[in-house]
Amino acid sequence: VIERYLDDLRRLLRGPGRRRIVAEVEAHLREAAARLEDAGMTPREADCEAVAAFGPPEDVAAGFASEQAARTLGWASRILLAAVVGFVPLYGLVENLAPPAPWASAADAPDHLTWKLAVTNVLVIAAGLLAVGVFVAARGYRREPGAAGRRARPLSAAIVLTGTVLAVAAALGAVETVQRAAVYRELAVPGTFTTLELAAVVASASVLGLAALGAVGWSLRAAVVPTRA
Amino acid sequence: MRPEALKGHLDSLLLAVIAERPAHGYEIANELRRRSDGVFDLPEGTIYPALHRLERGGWLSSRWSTSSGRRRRVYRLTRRGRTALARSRSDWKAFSGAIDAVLT
Repeated sequence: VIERYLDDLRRLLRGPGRRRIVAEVEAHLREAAARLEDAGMTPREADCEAVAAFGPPEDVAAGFASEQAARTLGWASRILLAAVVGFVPLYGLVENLAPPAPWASAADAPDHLTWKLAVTNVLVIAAGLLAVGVFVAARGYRREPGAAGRRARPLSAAIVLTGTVLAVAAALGAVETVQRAAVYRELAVPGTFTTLELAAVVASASVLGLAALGAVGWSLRAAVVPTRA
Repeated sequence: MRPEALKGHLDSLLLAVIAERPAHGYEIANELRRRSDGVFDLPEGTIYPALHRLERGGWLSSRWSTSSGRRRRVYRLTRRGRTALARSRSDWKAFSGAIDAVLT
C-alpha cells in the first residue's frame, strides 16, 4: 500500500527535489505504520491507515508544486547568470583568434557583419542586465516563503525573456563569426580562423545558447505547474 | 479541520512546535494535534510543503538523521525563524485581543 502510494506521488511530482520529498514521505509513512502496528493493527491495516492520514497523493503533489516551481526558477536564474558570464571568455576567445581586420576602419566593414556584431553586443548587454535583475529577484523570492504562488509567473516570464535574448545573441554571434571567417578567407587575410578554431567558437556559443534555452524551458514548465501558495 | 481553515497560520504553528525542539515531520504532525487537543487534525501530508517553504525562506534548516534504525529528516528553527515566530506571536496577540474586544 505504501509502495503504491509512493509510486503515485513520484509520478505526480514534477521538478527538482522529488527524491528528497518521496524519501521524507516514505520515512513518515513507515514510522506512522510502525506505531499503528504497535497499537495493535495488522500490517496491512496500519499501512492503509497511515496512507489515509497522510492525504491523497494528488493533494500532496499540488501542495509541493509552488515549492518545486520556486526551486526551478532559482536554478534557471543561476544558469542564466552563468551563461551571461560565459560570454566574457567567449568574447576573449574570438578576440584572441581573429586576425586584425583587413579594412581601414570599422565603417568599411561589410554591412551584414556590422549589424550582426552590433546587435549581438546590445543583446548580450541587455541579457546581462536582465540576468542580474532576475538573479536578484529570484533570491528575494526564495527568501520570501509566502510569495511562492504569487510571484512565480512574473519571474518565470522574466527568465523566459532573458533566456531568449541570450540564446538569440549566442546564435547571432556565432553566425557573425562564421561569416566573418568566410569574408577573411575570401580576402586571404593571413592568420584567419582555422576550421577547428571556428568549430570551438560555434560550440562554445551553442553551449551558452542551449543553457539559456534550458533555463527558458524550465521556467515555462514551472509557470504551468498548478501552484498552491 | 480542513487545511484551508489554517491558511495563514500554519507556518506560525509549525515554527512554534519546532521552537520547542528539533523534530521530524511525523513528530510535528502529532505535536500539532496533541497541543490543539485534536482540533488541528490535518492530513499529515499538508505540513511537508509548508516545512519545505519555511526552509526555503531560511526560517528552518533540516538534515537527515538516523536513530533506532530509522532515517528521518529533522527540522530545526534558525535565528531568522525565531525572529519570525516572535513577530508572529506578537501579531497574533494584537489580532486576537482586538477580536476579543469586539466579540465580547
